[in-house]
Amino acid sequence: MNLIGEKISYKPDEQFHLNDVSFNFKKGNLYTILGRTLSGKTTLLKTIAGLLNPDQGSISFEEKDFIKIPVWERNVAMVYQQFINYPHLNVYENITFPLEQRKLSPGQIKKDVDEALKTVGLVGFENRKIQELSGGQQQRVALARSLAKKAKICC
Amino acid sequence: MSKLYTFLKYFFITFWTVFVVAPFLWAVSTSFKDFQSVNSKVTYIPWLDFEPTLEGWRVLIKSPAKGGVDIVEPYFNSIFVTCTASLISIVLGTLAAYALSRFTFKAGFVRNNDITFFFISQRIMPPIVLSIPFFIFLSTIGLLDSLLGLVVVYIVLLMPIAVWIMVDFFNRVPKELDETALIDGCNPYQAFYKVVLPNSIPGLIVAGMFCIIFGWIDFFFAFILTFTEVQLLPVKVVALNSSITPWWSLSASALVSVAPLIIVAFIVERYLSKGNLSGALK
Repeated sequence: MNLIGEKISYKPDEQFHLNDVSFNFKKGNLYTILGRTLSGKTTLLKTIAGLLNPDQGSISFEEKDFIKIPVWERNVAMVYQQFINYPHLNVYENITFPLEQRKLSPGQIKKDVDEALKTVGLVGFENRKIQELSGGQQQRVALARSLAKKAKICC
Repeated sequence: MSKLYTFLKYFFITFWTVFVVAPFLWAVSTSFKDFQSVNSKVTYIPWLDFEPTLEGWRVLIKSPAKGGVDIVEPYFNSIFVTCTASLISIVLGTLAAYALSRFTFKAGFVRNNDITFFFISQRIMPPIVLSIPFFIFLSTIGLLDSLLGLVVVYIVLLMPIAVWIMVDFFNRVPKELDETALIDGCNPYQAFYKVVLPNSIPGLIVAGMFCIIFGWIDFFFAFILTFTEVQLLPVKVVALNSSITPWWSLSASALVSVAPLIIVAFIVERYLSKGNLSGALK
């Protein structure tokens, strides 16, 4: 069940963005990746999420070759440094979005969303537009969307 | 200072309003005049300066056999050609623009910006340069003097506008929005139509409006590529002009011609201010 990366390299231009990176993340643990600016932290997370394909190396999860699985089938949750929300949807719709993509039942979706809203303290804000929220509240919506997914890997 | 500013502000607003609206009002007034009212002296206001008549308007729907010009068929031809070509241009142009905005293309020294410029370069060329190839092309495929042929040509003319506007618009939609949609379970097509497209509605409307305007007002290609079978409105309106210029029916036809554009502008105006991306990326 570990998320294992071996000798991952990513070089889209003249410079390596990732150079021979290996890791072994165990299930249920919380890991922090530290590094100076432009050291490749976000690139590594994007590679795990599937947004970038490494030039070399492998990533395996649950004994499957993760690199062959497209990003939309990986069941990964990711919250960006700049928090991203869907501006055309309200708070509730923003959080339900990934759950609807997974075609969960309406009852299950409501339960998961209510739970996520409660966790981030946004109960009562369901019908607000994203633009009507403060920066901090917008960040919490993005967080709630990731939590509601109950993804196996959270970046 | 502030009084002078207010005065100048209202002065220029009034001046510009009169400048824009006056020709329109003049056309409305002239459309209700007859030969006598137009040629005897300068007249402005119906019932006071001249006796209004609907003759200028009647001519437009009368058949040529009864001394009219019958613009109904050209009118619907123009609506069909403009709407069909604009719709197809927007669909194809939006897809092309999305690809140019999100993916990197390399072919020799050609890059994304070069391809975008290649699209718009067609609009930079004088229309006469394109007219001969279009004529030969439509003639070869047997679509000269047909609605379908005009639709094909108008797609070629309008798509660059759609691509140009939408590339710029998609460039302003953060890439992270697409990426978040992919992480949330959308495949690239779903990310496009469920997330990127709904946030690009103002751009689509602007592109659509430009396509409709340029398609609707085109005279040159409608004139060159049609003869007897098919006529579009601009050609028909110009054909109204004979040895005696019928200013009343010309004015009426001008008003009828501009009406769809005004209706479209009123319908889409409220959407232009909607849909900002302020909540997309903090």
